[in-house]
Amino acid sequence: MKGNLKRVITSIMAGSMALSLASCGNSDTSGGSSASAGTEGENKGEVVIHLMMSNSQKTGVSAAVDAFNKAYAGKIRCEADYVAFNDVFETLETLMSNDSTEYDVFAADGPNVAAYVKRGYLKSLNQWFSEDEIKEFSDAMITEGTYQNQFYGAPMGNSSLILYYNKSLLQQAGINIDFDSITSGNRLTWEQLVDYAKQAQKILDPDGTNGIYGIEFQQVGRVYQMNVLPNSLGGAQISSDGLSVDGVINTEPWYTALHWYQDQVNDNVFTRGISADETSSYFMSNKIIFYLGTTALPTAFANNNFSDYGYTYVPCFKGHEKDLKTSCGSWTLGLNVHSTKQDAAAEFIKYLTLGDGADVYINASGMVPALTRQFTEDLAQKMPYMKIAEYEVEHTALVRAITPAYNEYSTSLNALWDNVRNGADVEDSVQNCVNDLNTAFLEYK
Amino acid sequence: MKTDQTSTYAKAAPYLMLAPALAIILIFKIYPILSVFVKSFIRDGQFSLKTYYILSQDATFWNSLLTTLKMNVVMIPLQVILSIILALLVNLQLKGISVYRTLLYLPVTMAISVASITWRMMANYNSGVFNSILSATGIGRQGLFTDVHQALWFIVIMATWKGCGYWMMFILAGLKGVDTSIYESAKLDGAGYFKTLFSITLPMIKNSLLFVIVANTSANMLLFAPMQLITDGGPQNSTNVLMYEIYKSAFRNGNQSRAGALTSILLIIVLTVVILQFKLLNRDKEEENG
Repeated sequence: MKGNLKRVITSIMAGSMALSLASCGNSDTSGGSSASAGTEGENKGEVVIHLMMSNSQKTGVSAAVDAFNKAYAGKIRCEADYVAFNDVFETLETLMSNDSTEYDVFAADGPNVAAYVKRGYLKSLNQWFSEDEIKEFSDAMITEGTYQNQFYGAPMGNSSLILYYNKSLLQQAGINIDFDSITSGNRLTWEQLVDYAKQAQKILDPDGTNGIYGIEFQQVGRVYQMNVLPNSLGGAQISSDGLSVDGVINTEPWYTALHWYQDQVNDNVFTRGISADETSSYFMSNKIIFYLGTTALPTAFANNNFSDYGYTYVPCFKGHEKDLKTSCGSWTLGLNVHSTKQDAAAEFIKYLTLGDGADVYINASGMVPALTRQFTEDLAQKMPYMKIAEYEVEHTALVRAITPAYNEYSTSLNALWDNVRNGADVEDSVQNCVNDLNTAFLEYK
Repeated sequence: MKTDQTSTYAKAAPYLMLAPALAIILIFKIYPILSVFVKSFIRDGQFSLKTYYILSQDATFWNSLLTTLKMNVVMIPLQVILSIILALLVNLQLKGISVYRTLLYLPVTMAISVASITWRMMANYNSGVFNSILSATGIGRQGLFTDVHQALWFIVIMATWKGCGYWMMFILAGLKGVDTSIYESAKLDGAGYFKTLFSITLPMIKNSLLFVIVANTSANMLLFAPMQLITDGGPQNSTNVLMYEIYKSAFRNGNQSRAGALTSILLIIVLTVVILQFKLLNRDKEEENG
């Protein structure tokens, strides 16, 4: 009898385990919707591929995806999911660390390409992209998409930095700047810009109650734009092997830039307590006089009926005119190493990055072209600020740190900029950052 | 024969009833714990102790461990003591006391993510209500969540505001279970308020207190939503608790091995603290029995 009892209990336990495991397994193999959708599609003789993209790129990418689906109707169809920018990296890590086949193609932000390759998430694109085709991209974008001499991240676009200014605020403050005389070789200096900002603030917001700020970066607190400051004083992003910041960020250019930035925050020239997601709203609501942002901004300004702005070249530091650096880089398309539809996925990637899709994307998104052929007169007429971007991409653009530990790098450096902004001691903050990254990089050595 | 069968089924019944719950615990609790523990020893598909070796030299890890302990050493006693005080207050027989009870419980009904975002807005340097008040009272604007010396303690305040009402309810339930005649006897014997509190009330609600202390410890050791949503572990890693370090390792940096090792360490710490609490709180009972 006792034996029977044991058998009954064992059977129930095993049954429950099997059921639970089966249900867990389902979510994995369903890999999920793509497999089922793929079968559905194959019945119609159509291969369905799935794309995961940041929602920050939805405008441009959805237009390009629609064009692709039209051009490849009956052969390949792309279904795109747009994940919130703040969640896209974590979603990708969660899926890919479990060898997911949910997405055949995913958005890999340029500097993350090396990390994704190191973790075994990306398939090399060299078998689908010839050397000549790769050379069609601008140098900076090839650098971002390449790791250990293999091409993994095909760039959809590039980005650049432009100085926008609020015409109405400058006019109200009676500040006259001869913007027409500003050229790539004759830029404003940061020192002049701060001076103009302070003069304007004195008139527009003498007691600080109107909440008007002088200058701000669109992506405040993020290495993508903030590193421009030390870079423009001759500071590097990371060591040449991509696995150290010791001797890179604890150097004179970085200390000077960080102190300078903190001083400006303390003087209320730069903002404090406003996140990167909020800065554009502040600029559009006449709360920021000078605003450094990407070329995608005019599209957002137009969508919000904001037109009282002008634009010019990014400033340089006095005496460091030749050291000037601007930010660049953007999202690339990566091929999931576990995808079962790699040929179709590669066809899609080529269409969006080299083919007609690339033009659709650039026109719809306002991003800087990644293909050198796309810098046309037509584009410059439609988006005049692209002339500035073209110059910066060719002459001053500095690629973000190339390291397999980019997530750790950006997390620590972002925190460094935030700490300095919030008043922490600069030297201590830099040392903390170096210590953090020294141990983080150990994982990759 | 029939009696035998009946007795067998009677013996089997509890196991059968426990089986589904046991299976769920095994699959969703025990298996992940073991899996995480195993993962912490796997690097590049091979068994390795390197993750633990790297952790031993990792200043970020030691700092986050220290931050976790520092925060909990203050927060756990603070929350338990405040919950006891609140429970004693709302246990008073006064007109309209239920309104206070509801008000004190209200923060519990708010999701921690909503509470975090709300507090972040209230603590904003430029436009937050806290800084408006501080500014108006002449103290001047404070960094709060953005100040390296204030951020951790401001999270403690927020978590205490959010959690005390919850723990208060368990203690209140314990207080309601104490026979009032005992208080009357104590009063007749001339015992004062504090004598009654420490010699009668608290010992009588020992089981409720034990639950609150143990559950509160686990909950606070695993707290990370405010760090994720408000401070991002900063400023200068001052709020980078172990749980947040685990989250970053697993979901941002894709380092499953490090996340596994950190989780194992946190689990051992929580277990040790909880076992110690059980031992300490049951000591008197054991002594009485012994």
